[in-house]
Amino acid sequence: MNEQRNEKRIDELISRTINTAKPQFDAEKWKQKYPEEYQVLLSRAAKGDSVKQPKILKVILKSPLTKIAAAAVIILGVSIFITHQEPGEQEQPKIAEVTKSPVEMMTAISLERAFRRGGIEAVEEQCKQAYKPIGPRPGSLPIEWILAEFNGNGRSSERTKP
Amino acid sequence: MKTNKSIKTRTVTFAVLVLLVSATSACAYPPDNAAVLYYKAFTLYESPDNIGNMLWDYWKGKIKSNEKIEECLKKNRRIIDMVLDASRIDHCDWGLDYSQGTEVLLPPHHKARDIFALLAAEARTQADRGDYKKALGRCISIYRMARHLNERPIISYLVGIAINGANNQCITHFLSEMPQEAEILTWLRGELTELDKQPFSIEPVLRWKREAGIISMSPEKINDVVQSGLDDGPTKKKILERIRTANQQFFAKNITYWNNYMDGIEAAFDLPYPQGYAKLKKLDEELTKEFNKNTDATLTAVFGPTWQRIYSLSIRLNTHSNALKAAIEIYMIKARTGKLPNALPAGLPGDLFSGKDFKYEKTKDGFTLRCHGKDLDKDETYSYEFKVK
Repeated sequence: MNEQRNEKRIDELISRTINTAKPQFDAEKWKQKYPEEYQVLLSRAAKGDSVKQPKILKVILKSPLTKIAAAAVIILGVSIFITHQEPGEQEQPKIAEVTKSPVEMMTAISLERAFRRGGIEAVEEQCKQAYKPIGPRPGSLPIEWILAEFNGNGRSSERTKP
Repeated sequence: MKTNKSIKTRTVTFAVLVLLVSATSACAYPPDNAAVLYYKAFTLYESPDNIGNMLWDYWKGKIKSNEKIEECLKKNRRIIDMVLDASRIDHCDWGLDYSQGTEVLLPPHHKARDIFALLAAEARTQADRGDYKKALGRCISIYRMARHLNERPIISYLVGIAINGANNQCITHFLSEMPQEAEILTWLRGELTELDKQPFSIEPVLRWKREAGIISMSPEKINDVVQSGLDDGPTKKKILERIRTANQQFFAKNITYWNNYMDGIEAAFDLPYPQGYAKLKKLDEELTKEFNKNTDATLTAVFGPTWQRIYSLSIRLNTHSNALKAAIEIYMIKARTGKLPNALPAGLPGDLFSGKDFKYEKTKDGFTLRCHGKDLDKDETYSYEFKVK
Protein backbone atom coordinates (compact mmCIF):
# COMPACT_ATOMS: atom_id res chain seq x y z
CA MET A 1 0.00 0.00 0.00
CA ASN A 2 2.82 2.28 1.01
CA GLU A 3 4.70 1.33 -2.14
CA GLN A 4 1.66 2.16 -4.23
CA ARG A 5 1.42 5.56 -2.59
CA ASN A 6 5.10 6.15 -3.30
CA GLU A 7 4.69 5.21 -6.94
CA LYS A 8 1.78 7.63 -7.21
CA ARG A 9 3.90 10.32 -5.68
CA ILE A 10 6.74 9.59 -8.14
CA ASP A 11 4.34 9.74 -11.10
CA GLU A 12 2.96 13.01 -9.85
CA LEU A 13 6.41 14.49 -9.42
CA ILE A 14 7.58 13.34 -12.85
CA SER A 15 4.48 14.65 -14.60
CA ARG A 16 4.79 17.98 -12.83
CA THR A 17 8.45 18.26 -13.79
CA ILE A 18 7.78 17.41 -17.41
CA ASN A 19 4.62 19.42 -17.91
CA THR A 20 5.54 22.63 -16.16
CA ALA A 21 8.44 25.00 -16.54
CA LYS A 22 9.34 24.86 -12.85
CA PRO A 23 8.76 21.88 -10.52
CA GLN A 24 6.25 22.77 -7.81
CA PHE A 25 8.10 21.82 -4.68
CA ASP A 26 6.76 23.17 -1.39
CA ALA A 27 9.49 22.91 1.23
CA GLU A 28 7.22 23.95 4.11
CA LYS A 29 4.65 21.27 3.38
CA TRP A 30 7.36 18.66 2.99
CA LYS A 31 8.82 19.72 6.38
CA GLN A 32 5.42 19.29 8.07
CA LYS A 33 4.70 16.01 6.36
CA TYR A 34 8.08 14.37 7.04
CA PRO A 35 9.32 15.82 10.36
CA GLU A 36 11.64 12.87 11.11
CA GLU A 37 13.60 13.15 7.93
CA TYR A 38 13.74 16.91 8.35
CA GLN A 39 15.18 16.59 11.85
CA VAL A 40 17.81 14.15 10.65
CA LEU A 41 18.87 16.53 7.93
CA LEU A 42 18.94 19.45 10.37
CA SER A 43 21.02 17.65 12.96
CA ARG A 44 23.58 16.54 10.37
CA ALA A 45 23.85 20.00 8.95
CA ALA A 46 24.24 21.58 12.42
CA LYS A 47 27.14 19.29 13.30
CA GLY A 48 28.92 20.32 10.13
CA ASP A 49 31.08 17.22 10.29
CA SER A 50 32.42 16.44 6.87
CA VAL A 51 33.40 12.92 7.84
CA LYS A 52 29.83 12.14 8.74
CA GLN A 53 28.37 13.56 5.55
CA PRO A 54 28.04 10.17 3.87
CA LYS A 55 25.43 9.35 6.52
CA ILE A 56 23.14 12.04 5.13
CA LEU A 57 23.48 10.34 1.80
CA LYS A 58 22.68 7.05 3.51
CA VAL A 59 19.50 8.53 4.99
CA ILE A 60 18.49 9.95 1.64
CA LEU A 61 19.12 6.70 -0.16
CA LYS A 62 17.41 4.67 2.53
CA SER A 63 14.02 6.29 2.23
CA PRO A 64 12.23 6.52 -1.15
CA LEU A 65 10.56 9.70 0.01
CA THR A 66 13.82 11.49 0.70
CA LYS A 67 15.12 10.27 -2.62
CA ILE A 68 12.20 12.00 -4.31
CA ALA A 69 12.67 15.09 -2.21
CA ALA A 70 16.38 15.27 -3.03
CA ALA A 71 15.65 14.85 -6.74
CA ALA A 72 13.09 17.63 -6.56
CA VAL A 73 15.53 19.96 -4.81
CA ILE A 74 18.18 19.34 -7.49
CA ILE A 75 15.69 19.91 -10.33
CA LEU A 76 14.41 23.06 -8.66
CA GLY A 77 17.93 24.37 -8.13
CA VAL A 78 18.96 23.74 -11.75
CA SER A 79 15.80 25.31 -13.16
CA ILE A 80 16.15 28.40 -10.94
CA PHE A 81 19.79 28.72 -12.01
CA ILE A 82 18.86 28.54 -15.70
CA THR A 83 15.87 30.90 -15.58
CA HIS A 84 17.70 33.49 -13.47
CA GLN A 85 20.69 33.75 -15.80
CA GLU A 86 21.10 37.06 -17.67
CA PRO A 87 20.08 36.87 -21.34
CA GLY A 88 23.69 37.33 -22.35
CA GLU A 89 24.79 34.38 -20.23
CA GLN A 90 22.25 32.01 -21.72
CA GLU A 91 23.23 30.17 -24.82
CA GLN A 92 21.84 32.12 -27.77
CA PRO A 93 20.24 30.15 -30.58
CA LYS A 94 22.10 30.42 -33.84
CA ILE A 95 19.70 32.68 -35.71
CA ALA A 96 20.67 31.77 -39.24
CA GLU A 97 20.56 28.04 -38.54
CA VAL A 98 17.71 27.62 -36.13
CA THR A 99 15.13 30.36 -36.07
CA LYS A 100 15.17 31.68 -39.62
CA SER A 101 13.29 30.27 -42.53
CA PRO A 102 14.94 30.11 -46.00
CA VAL A 103 12.77 33.05 -47.09
CA GLU A 104 13.99 35.18 -44.18
CA MET A 105 17.58 34.22 -44.90
CA MET A 106 17.33 35.30 -48.54
CA THR A 107 16.10 38.87 -47.97
CA ALA A 108 18.40 41.72 -48.96
CA ILE A 109 18.57 43.07 -45.41
CA SER A 110 19.42 39.68 -43.92
CA LEU A 111 22.18 39.07 -46.48
CA GLU A 112 23.57 42.57 -45.86
CA ARG A 113 23.83 41.62 -42.20
CA ALA A 114 25.77 38.51 -43.22
CA PHE A 115 28.07 40.66 -45.35
CA ARG A 116 28.81 42.95 -42.40
CA ARG A 117 29.69 39.88 -40.34
CA GLY A 118 31.92 38.01 -42.76
CA GLY A 119 32.03 39.51 -46.25
CA ILE A 120 30.93 37.80 -49.43
CA GLU A 121 31.84 34.34 -48.04
CA ALA A 122 29.30 34.78 -45.24
CA VAL A 123 26.69 35.82 -47.82
CA GLU A 124 27.38 32.68 -49.84
CA GLU A 125 27.20 30.50 -46.74
CA GLN A 126 23.84 31.96 -45.73
CA CYS A 127 22.47 31.42 -49.26
CA LYS A 128 23.69 27.82 -49.17
CA GLN A 129 21.93 27.30 -45.83
CA ALA A 130 18.75 28.80 -47.26
CA TYR A 131 18.77 26.52 -50.27
CA LYS A 132 19.72 23.42 -48.26
CA PRO A 133 16.18 22.53 -47.10
CA ILE A 134 15.18 22.06 -50.71
CA GLY A 135 17.13 18.83 -50.33
CA PRO A 136 17.84 16.13 -52.88
CA ARG A 137 16.05 16.31 -56.15
CA PRO A 138 13.98 13.36 -57.37
CA GLY A 139 16.18 10.79 -59.04
CA SER A 140 13.32 9.85 -61.31
CA LEU A 141 9.65 10.59 -61.50
CA PRO A 142 7.69 7.47 -62.51
CA ILE A 143 4.25 7.93 -63.97
CA GLU A 144 2.66 6.08 -60.99
CA TRP A 145 3.85 8.79 -58.61
CA ILE A 146 2.53 11.55 -60.82
CA LEU A 147 -0.83 9.77 -60.98
CA ALA A 148 -0.77 9.21 -57.22
CA GLU A 149 -0.18 12.94 -56.68
CA PHE A 150 -2.94 13.71 -59.14
CA ASN A 151 -5.35 11.45 -57.25
CA GLY A 152 -4.32 12.91 -53.93
CA ASN A 153 -2.58 9.73 -52.71
CA GLY A 154 0.98 10.86 -53.25
CA ARG A 155 3.53 11.42 -50.56
CA SER A 156 6.09 14.00 -51.58
CA SER A 157 8.80 12.47 -49.40
CA GLU A 158 8.67 9.24 -51.39
CA ARG A 159 9.82 11.06 -54.46
CA THR A 160 13.19 12.03 -53.13
CA LYS A 161 16.25 9.89 -53.16
CA PRO A 162 17.27 8.50 -49.78
CA MET B 1 -17.77 37.33 -105.52
CA LYS B 2 -14.38 36.11 -106.68
CA THR B 3 -12.73 39.15 -105.12
CA ASN B 4 -14.48 38.48 -101.81
CA LYS B 5 -13.25 34.91 -101.83
CA SER B 6 -9.67 35.93 -102.56
CA ILE B 7 -9.76 38.54 -99.76
CA LYS B 8 -10.98 35.84 -97.37
CA THR B 9 -8.26 33.44 -98.49
CA ARG B 10 -5.62 36.12 -98.09
CA THR B 11 -6.90 37.04 -94.61
CA VAL B 12 -6.87 33.43 -93.47
CA THR B 13 -3.38 32.88 -94.91
CA PHE B 14 -2.15 36.05 -93.18
CA ALA B 15 -3.68 34.98 -89.86
CA VAL B 16 -2.09 31.54 -90.12
CA LEU B 17 1.29 33.13 -90.90
CA VAL B 18 0.99 35.50 -87.92
CA LEU B 19 0.13 32.59 -85.67
CA LEU B 20 3.06 30.56 -86.98
CA VAL B 21 5.52 33.41 -86.55
CA SER B 22 4.32 34.23 -83.04
CA ALA B 23 4.34 30.57 -82.05
CA THR B 24 7.90 30.23 -83.34
CA SER B 25 9.08 33.30 -81.44
CA ALA B 26 7.31 32.14 -78.26
CA CYS B 27 9.22 28.85 -78.31
CA ALA B 28 12.51 30.37 -79.42
CA TYR B 29 15.77 29.59 -77.68
CA PRO B 30 17.50 31.46 -76.17
CA PRO B 31 14.71 33.35 -74.40
CA ASP B 32 14.68 37.14 -74.42
CA ASN B 33 15.37 37.28 -70.68
CA ALA B 34 18.86 36.14 -69.65
CA ALA B 35 17.76 35.58 -66.04
CA VAL B 36 15.71 32.54 -67.08
CA LEU B 37 18.90 30.78 -68.18
CA TYR B 38 20.92 31.96 -65.18
CA TYR B 39 18.28 30.64 -62.78
CA LYS B 40 18.36 27.30 -64.58
CA ALA B 41 22.16 27.11 -64.63
CA PHE B 42 22.57 28.24 -61.00
CA THR B 43 20.03 25.69 -59.81
CA LEU B 44 21.45 22.79 -61.80
CA TYR B 45 25.14 23.36 -61.19
CA GLU B 46 26.74 21.67 -58.26
CA SER B 47 30.46 22.03 -57.76
CA PRO B 48 31.81 18.45 -57.56
CA ASP B 49 32.78 17.38 -54.04
CA ASN B 50 36.02 15.76 -55.10
CA ILE B 51 37.41 18.78 -56.91
CA GLY B 52 37.88 21.31 -54.07
CA ASN B 53 39.70 24.42 -55.26
CA MET B 54 41.06 22.68 -58.33
CA LEU B 55 39.08 24.78 -60.80
CA TRP B 56 40.35 27.99 -59.14
CA ASP B 57 43.95 26.78 -59.11
CA TYR B 58 43.63 25.68 -62.73
CA TRP B 59 42.42 28.98 -64.17
CA LYS B 60 45.07 30.80 -62.16
CA GLY B 61 47.68 28.59 -63.84
CA LYS B 62 48.82 27.08 -60.53
CA ILE B 63 48.11 23.53 -61.68
CA LYS B 64 47.85 21.74 -64.98
CA SER B 65 44.65 20.19 -66.21
CA ASN B 66 43.85 16.72 -64.94
CA GLU B 67 41.19 14.03 -65.27
CA LYS B 68 38.95 15.50 -62.58
CA ILE B 69 38.95 18.94 -64.17
CA GLU B 70 38.33 17.51 -67.62
CA GLU B 71 35.47 15.38 -66.31
CA CYS B 72 33.93 18.33 -64.50
CA LEU B 73 34.06 20.50 -67.62
CA LYS B 74 32.65 17.69 -69.74
CA LYS B 75 29.81 16.95 -67.34
CA ASN B 76 28.86 20.61 -67.12
CA ARG B 77 29.13 21.45 -70.80
CA ARG B 78 25.43 22.31 -70.99
CA ILE B 79 25.69 24.61 -67.97
CA ILE B 80 28.63 26.43 -69.57
CA ASP B 81 26.75 26.82 -72.86
CA MET B 82 23.62 27.98 -71.04
CA VAL B 83 25.53 30.73 -69.22
CA LEU B 84 27.36 31.77 -72.38
CA ASP B 85 24.01 32.01 -74.16
CA ALA B 86 22.59 34.04 -71.30
CA SER B 87 25.51 36.46 -71.36
CA ARG B 88 24.78 37.28 -75.01
CA ILE B 89 21.22 38.39 -74.22
CA ASP B 90 20.83 42.12 -73.62
CA HIS B 91 17.79 42.00 -71.38
CA CYS B 92 18.08 40.48 -67.89
CA ASP B 93 15.25 40.73 -65.40
CA TRP B 94 15.58 38.65 -62.23
CA GLY B 95 11.94 39.28 -61.35
CA LEU B 96 12.65 40.86 -57.98
CA ASP B 97 9.72 42.34 -56.08
CA TYR B 98 11.12 45.75 -55.17
CA SER B 99 7.89 46.78 -53.46
CA GLN B 100 9.12 44.67 -50.50
CA GLY B 101 11.80 47.24 -49.78
CA THR B 102 14.84 45.84 -47.98
CA GLU B 103 13.02 42.52 -47.60
CA VAL B 104 13.18 41.80 -51.31
CA LEU B 105 14.14 38.17 -51.92
CA LEU B 106 17.40 37.76 -53.79
CA PRO B 107 18.26 35.19 -56.46
CA PRO B 108 20.63 32.28 -55.72
CA HIS B 109 23.70 34.41 -56.36
CA HIS B 110 25.83 32.19 -54.12
CA LYS B 111 26.29 29.96 -57.15
CA ALA B 112 27.66 32.82 -59.25
CA ARG B 113 31.25 32.42 -58.11
CA ASP B 114 31.14 28.66 -58.64
CA ILE B 115 29.82 29.28 -62.14
CA PHE B 116 32.56 31.84 -62.66
CA ALA B 117 35.19 29.25 -61.71
CA LEU B 118 33.65 26.81 -64.20
CA LEU B 119 33.72 29.37 -67.03
CA ALA B 120 37.22 30.57 -66.15
CA ALA B 121 38.47 26.97 -66.16
CA GLU B 122 36.89 26.47 -69.55
CA ALA B 123 38.58 29.68 -70.75
CA ARG B 124 41.87 28.30 -69.43
CA THR B 125 41.48 25.13 -71.53
CA GLN B 126 41.09 27.36 -74.60
CA ALA B 127 44.25 29.23 -73.60
CA ASP B 128 46.09 25.92 -73.08
CA ARG B 129 45.16 25.03 -76.65
CA GLY B 130 46.62 28.34 -77.79
CA ASP B 131 43.26 29.88 -78.69
CA TYR B 132 43.66 33.07 -76.66
CA LYS B 133 40.96 34.94 -78.53
CA LYS B 134 38.42 32.35 -77.49
CA ALA B 135 39.77 32.35 -73.93
CA LEU B 136 39.46 36.13 -73.72
CA GLY B 137 36.02 35.87 -75.32
CA ARG B 138 34.93 33.73 -72.37
CA CYS B 139 36.20 36.47 -70.05
CA ILE B 140 34.11 39.04 -71.90
CA SER B 141 31.09 36.77 -71.37
CA ILE B 142 31.91 36.67 -67.65
CA TYR B 143 31.94 40.49 -67.55
CA ARG B 144 28.51 40.47 -69.17
CA MET B 145 27.26 37.96 -66.61
CA ALA B 146 28.54 40.21 -63.80
CA ARG B 147 26.62 43.12 -65.31
CA HIS B 148 23.51 40.97 -65.44
CA LEU B 149 23.97 40.05 -61.78
CA ASN B 150 24.21 43.69 -60.79
CA GLU B 151 20.61 44.33 -59.88
CA ARG B 152 19.74 47.12 -57.49
CA PRO B 153 20.36 45.37 -54.12
CA ILE B 154 23.84 45.92 -52.66
CA ILE B 155 24.47 42.20 -52.32
CA SER B 156 23.97 41.69 -56.07
CA TYR B 157 26.46 44.49 -56.68
CA LEU B 158 28.99 42.94 -54.30
CA VAL B 159 28.68 39.53 -55.97
CA GLY B 160 29.28 41.31 -59.28
CA ILE B 161 32.37 43.00 -57.83
CA ALA B 162 33.77 39.64 -56.69
CA ILE B 163 33.28 38.16 -60.16
CA ASN B 164 34.65 41.15 -62.04
CA GLY B 165 37.70 41.25 -59.77
CA ALA B 166 38.47 37.57 -60.31
CA ASN B 167 37.86 37.97 -64.04
CA ASN B 168 40.36 40.85 -64.18
CA GLN B 169 42.92 38.46 -62.71
CA CYS B 170 41.98 35.83 -65.26
CA ILE B 171 42.56 38.24 -68.17
CA THR B 172 45.84 39.37 -66.61
CA HIS B 173 47.05 35.74 -66.65
CA PHE B 174 46.11 35.29 -70.30
CA LEU B 175 47.71 38.60 -71.35
CA SER B 176 50.86 37.61 -69.49
CA GLU B 177 51.11 34.28 -71.30
CA MET B 178 50.00 35.03 -74.85
CA PRO B 179 52.14 36.42 -77.61
CA GLN B 180 51.43 40.11 -78.32
CA GLU B 181 49.22 40.02 -81.37
CA ALA B 182 47.88 43.40 -82.42
CA GLU B 183 44.73 41.88 -83.91
CA ILE B 184 43.63 40.14 -80.69
CA LEU B 185 44.59 43.11 -78.53
CA THR B 186 42.64 45.53 -80.74
CA TRP B 187 39.66 43.20 -80.64
CA LEU B 188 39.90 42.97 -76.83
CA ARG B 189 40.13 46.74 -76.46
CA GLY B 190 37.03 47.09 -78.66
CA GLU B 191 35.09 44.58 -76.57
CA LEU B 192 35.98 46.39 -73.34
CA THR B 193 34.96 49.73 -74.84
CA GLU B 194 31.65 48.18 -75.85
CA LEU B 195 31.13 46.89 -72.29
CA ASP B 196 31.76 50.38 -70.90
CA LYS B 197 28.62 51.56 -72.68
CA GLN B 198 26.79 49.66 -69.94
CA PRO B 199 29.12 50.39 -67.04
CA PHE B 200 29.18 48.23 -63.95
CA SER B 201 28.01 50.98 -61.66
CA ILE B 202 26.95 51.51 -58.06
CA GLU B 203 24.55 54.35 -58.92
CA PRO B 204 21.41 52.19 -59.28
CA VAL B 205 22.35 50.52 -55.98
CA LEU B 206 22.51 53.84 -54.13
CA ARG B 207 19.23 55.05 -55.62
CA TRP B 208 17.42 51.86 -54.68
CA LYS B 209 18.93 51.72 -51.22
CA ARG B 210 17.29 55.06 -50.47
CA GLU B 211 13.97 53.90 -51.91
CA ALA B 212 14.07 50.53 -50.12
CA GLY B 213 14.82 52.20 -46.82
CA ILE B 214 11.78 54.43 -47.16
CA ILE B 215 9.52 51.47 -48.04
CA SER B 216 10.74 49.55 -45.00
CA MET B 217 10.31 52.50 -42.62
CA SER B 218 6.67 51.71 -42.03
CA PRO B 219 4.91 50.47 -38.89
CA GLU B 220 3.96 47.23 -40.67
CA LYS B 221 7.44 46.31 -41.85
CA ILE B 222 9.95 47.83 -39.50
CA ASN B 223 9.88 45.24 -36.73
CA ASP B 224 10.67 42.34 -39.08
CA VAL B 225 13.33 44.38 -40.84
CA VAL B 226 15.11 45.20 -37.57
CA GLN B 227 14.95 41.57 -36.48
CA SER B 228 16.48 40.42 -39.78
CA GLY B 229 18.94 43.23 -40.32
CA LEU B 230 20.70 43.62 -36.99
CA ASP B 231 22.69 41.33 -34.75
CA ASP B 232 21.40 40.93 -31.21
CA GLY B 233 22.84 43.51 -28.85
CA PRO B 234 22.21 46.85 -27.11
CA THR B 235 21.70 48.79 -30.38
CA LYS B 236 19.03 46.40 -31.60
CA LYS B 237 17.38 46.41 -28.18
CA LYS B 238 17.30 50.20 -28.13
CA ILE B 239 15.88 50.41 -31.67
CA LEU B 240 13.14 47.90 -30.84
CA GLU B 241 12.25 49.86 -27.72
CA ARG B 242 11.93 53.07 -29.71
CA ILE B 243 9.83 51.34 -32.36
CA ARG B 244 7.44 49.99 -29.72
CA THR B 245 6.39 53.52 -28.79
CA ALA B 246 6.65 54.98 -32.30
CA ASN B 247 3.90 57.05 -33.91
CA GLN B 248 3.43 58.43 -37.42
CA GLN B 249 5.56 61.45 -36.62
CA PHE B 250 8.45 59.18 -35.59
CA PHE B 251 8.40 57.48 -39.00
CA ALA B 252 8.06 60.78 -40.93
CA LYS B 253 11.03 62.31 -39.10
CA ASN B 254 13.11 59.17 -39.56
CA ILE B 255 12.42 59.20 -43.31
CA THR B 256 13.54 62.85 -43.52
CA TYR B 257 16.72 62.00 -41.61
CA TRP B 258 17.33 59.01 -43.90
CA ASN B 259 16.89 61.13 -47.05
CA ASN B 260 19.40 63.71 -45.79
CA TYR B 261 21.81 60.95 -44.85
CA MET B 262 21.51 59.34 -48.29
CA ASP B 263 22.10 62.75 -49.96
CA GLY B 264 25.40 62.83 -48.10
CA ILE B 265 26.27 59.24 -49.08
CA GLU B 266 25.56 59.79 -52.78
CA ALA B 267 27.58 63.01 -52.76
CA ALA B 268 30.51 61.19 -51.11
CA PHE B 269 30.54 58.50 -53.82
CA ASP B 270 30.97 61.27 -56.44
CA LEU B 271 34.05 62.72 -54.73
CA PRO B 272 37.66 61.72 -55.37
CA TYR B 273 38.56 58.71 -53.21
CA PRO B 274 40.39 60.31 -50.24
CA GLN B 275 37.72 62.99 -49.78
CA GLY B 276 34.88 60.57 -50.43
CA TYR B 277 36.23 58.09 -47.90
CA ALA B 278 36.71 60.84 -45.30
CA LYS B 279 33.17 62.06 -45.85
CA LEU B 280 31.70 58.57 -45.47
CA LYS B 281 33.70 58.08 -42.29
CA LYS B 282 32.39 61.40 -40.95
CA LEU B 283 28.80 60.47 -41.82
CA ASP B 284 29.24 57.15 -40.04
CA GLU B 285 30.65 58.80 -36.91
CA GLU B 286 27.92 61.44 -36.89
CA LEU B 287 25.25 58.76 -37.17
CA THR B 288 26.73 56.85 -34.22
CA LYS B 289 26.67 60.03 -32.08
CA GLU B 290 23.23 61.11 -33.24
CA PHE B 291 21.72 57.69 -32.63
CA ASN B 292 22.15 58.03 -28.88
CA LYS B 293 20.53 61.43 -28.52
CA ASN B 294 18.25 61.87 -31.54
CA THR B 295 15.37 59.43 -32.14
CA ASP B 296 15.11 60.70 -35.76
CA ALA B 297 18.35 58.82 -36.47
CA THR B 298 17.01 55.51 -35.14
CA LEU B 299 16.05 53.81 -38.40
CA THR B 300 18.99 55.16 -40.40
CA ALA B 301 21.15 53.12 -38.04
CA VAL B 302 19.29 50.02 -39.25
CA PHE B 303 19.71 50.65 -42.97
CA GLY B 304 23.13 52.25 -43.28
CA PRO B 305 25.50 49.45 -44.35
CA THR B 306 29.30 49.67 -44.17
CA TRP B 307 29.56 52.32 -46.84
CA GLN B 308 33.31 52.90 -46.46
CA ARG B 309 33.98 49.26 -47.22
CA ILE B 310 31.63 49.20 -50.21
CA TYR B 311 33.07 52.45 -51.55
CA SER B 312 36.64 51.13 -51.25
CA LEU B 313 35.67 47.88 -52.99
CA SER B 314 34.12 49.78 -55.89
CA ILE B 315 37.22 52.00 -56.27
CA ARG B 316 39.45 48.95 -56.03
CA LEU B 317 37.58 47.17 -58.82
CA ASN B 318 37.56 50.21 -61.11
CA THR B 319 41.27 50.84 -60.49
CA HIS B 320 42.06 47.21 -61.34
CA SER B 321 39.97 47.51 -64.53
CA ASN B 322 41.85 50.71 -65.41
CA ALA B 323 45.18 48.95 -64.89
CA LEU B 324 44.04 46.24 -67.28
CA LYS B 325 43.05 48.79 -69.95
CA ALA B 326 46.36 50.60 -69.52
CA ALA B 327 48.21 47.27 -69.78
CA ILE B 328 46.46 46.44 -73.06
CA GLU B 329 47.76 49.73 -74.50
CA ILE B 330 51.29 48.88 -73.34
CA TYR B 331 51.02 45.39 -74.85
CA MET B 332 49.87 46.99 -78.11
CA ILE B 333 53.00 49.15 -78.17
CA LYS B 334 55.02 45.99 -77.63
CA ALA B 335 53.12 44.31 -80.48
CA ARG B 336 53.80 47.28 -82.80
CA THR B 337 57.40 48.09 -81.86
CA GLY B 338 58.67 44.82 -80.45
CA LYS B 339 59.56 46.38 -77.10
CA LEU B 340 57.95 47.83 -74.05
CA PRO B 341 57.78 51.63 -73.78
CA ASN B 342 60.28 53.30 -71.43
CA ALA B 343 57.59 55.49 -69.88
CA LEU B 344 53.87 55.24 -69.42
CA PRO B 345 52.08 56.61 -72.48
CA ALA B 346 49.94 59.68 -71.78
CA GLY B 347 46.18 59.60 -71.52
CA LEU B 348 45.77 56.11 -70.09
CA PRO B 349 43.18 55.28 -67.42
CA GLY B 350 44.69 55.82 -63.98
CA ASP B 351 44.72 54.98 -60.30
CA LEU B 352 41.40 56.00 -58.78
CA PHE B 353 42.74 55.81 -55.22
CA SER B 354 44.91 58.86 -55.93
CA GLY B 355 43.42 60.29 -59.12
CA LYS B 356 46.89 60.06 -60.70
CA ASP B 357 48.44 57.91 -63.44
CA PHE B 358 49.83 54.53 -62.42
CA LYS B 359 53.53 54.31 -61.59
CA TYR B 360 54.95 52.36 -64.51
CA GLU B 361 57.97 50.17 -64.00
CA LYS B 362 59.64 47.73 -66.34
CA THR B 363 60.66 44.48 -64.68
CA LYS B 364 62.87 41.64 -65.88
CA ASP B 365 59.91 39.65 -67.16
CA GLY B 366 57.35 42.37 -67.94
CA PHE B 367 56.05 45.48 -66.26
CA THR B 368 54.21 46.68 -63.18
CA LEU B 369 51.54 49.32 -62.70
CA ARG B 370 51.51 50.66 -59.15
CA CYS B 371 48.94 52.78 -57.40
CA HIS B 372 49.97 56.01 -55.68
CA GLY B 373 46.99 56.05 -53.36
CA LYS B 374 46.18 53.65 -50.57
CA ASP B 375 43.04 51.61 -50.01
CA LEU B 376 42.11 53.31 -46.72
CA ASP B 377 39.79 50.49 -45.70
CA LYS B 378 42.48 47.81 -46.04
CA ASP B 379 45.46 50.10 -45.46
CA GLU B 380 47.06 48.66 -48.59
CA THR B 381 48.59 50.02 -51.78
CA TYR B 382 48.01 47.83 -54.81
CA SER B 383 50.28 47.01 -57.71
CA TYR B 384 49.45 44.99 -60.81
CA GLU B 385 52.05 42.78 -62.43
CA PHE B 386 51.99 41.91 -66.10
CA LYS B 387 54.40 39.56 -67.77
CA VAL B 388 55.63 39.58 -71.35
CA LYS B 389 56.32 36.40 -73.22
